[in-house]
Amino acid sequence: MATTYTLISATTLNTTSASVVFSSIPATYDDLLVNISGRGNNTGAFYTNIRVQCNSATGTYSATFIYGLGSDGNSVITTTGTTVLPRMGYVNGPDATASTFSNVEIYIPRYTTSINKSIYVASVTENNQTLNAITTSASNYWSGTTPAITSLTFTTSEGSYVSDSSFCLYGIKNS
Amino acid sequence: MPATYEPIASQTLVSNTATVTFSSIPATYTDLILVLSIRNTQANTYPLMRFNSDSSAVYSVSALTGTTTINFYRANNQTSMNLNYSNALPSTASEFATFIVNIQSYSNISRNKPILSKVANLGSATEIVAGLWRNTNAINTISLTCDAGTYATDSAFTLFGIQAA
Repeated sequence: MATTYTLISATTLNTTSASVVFSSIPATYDDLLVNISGRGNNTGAFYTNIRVQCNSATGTYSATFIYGLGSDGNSVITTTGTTVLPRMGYVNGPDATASTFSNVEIYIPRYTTSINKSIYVASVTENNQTLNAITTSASNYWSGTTPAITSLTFTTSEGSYVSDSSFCLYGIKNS
Repeated sequence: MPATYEPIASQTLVSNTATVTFSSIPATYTDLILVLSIRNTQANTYPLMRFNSDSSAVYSVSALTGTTTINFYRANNQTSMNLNYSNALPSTASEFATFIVNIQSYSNISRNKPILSKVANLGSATEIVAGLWRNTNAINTISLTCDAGTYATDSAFTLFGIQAA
């Protein structure tokens, strides 16, 4: 039986970068999976929000995510009407424990179809404190008449990704 | 990459369907991953899963859910496994909820069978659901139904096999 979990593209940054782009994503798979091991440079931050645009489109995106924040407890946030996928996990910030990178997994089913895209994201940014370690589970949504996803652009809510952050895009076939 | 993540079977519905079944699942993998992109033909419905057609009250579920609030649900001695608890399945065209269900050690006959369901239900709900089938038999059949209505046309179901080595 064929192997169907295939690396499409991998990027490990060798310099600070405001964005990472996977372009010309082939339509030969059924689902996409992205793994990120990331860290940001937003001054004074323990963690920074990852944001994503599909096909450079500016909407309509929405999301609901739950998070646990160390001893600060937990909560849920819903965001609607945004120009980016708003809750695509977190990367560690410069105030987090040194040499610590977040772990993010993004699953995008049926990316080549015209259905609205319901995207699952899990992320964790560990940190050697009782506070400021954030764990999330998120549902991100691209609604309207959505075409096949041919590019994914990763930015942050504030700042850039630092050197040695890595982004891996996999294609998954269902047959 | 080693050949350890392989599709066992996939179904995309061409008509509304009450029950989707994966049968004769080979015991040659370590874990299973079930990926669902699904909606129902009617509102206020939830997906249910059974193993090996077992309808006895041996399923339990714990769910952490987020909508406008965080909630926790617990149900034991169930006759099937709910794969989500907060917002119901979508019933509008082009709207499909995503489920990624990990089924660990499905062929290990010395263990009861745990599952983990991760849910993205449009942009309005996310869940993490842990479940258990209190049975040590190897899983050879997975059946998916809903508590009401049917899975709508174009709903997609894919079962992958994961090998540890």
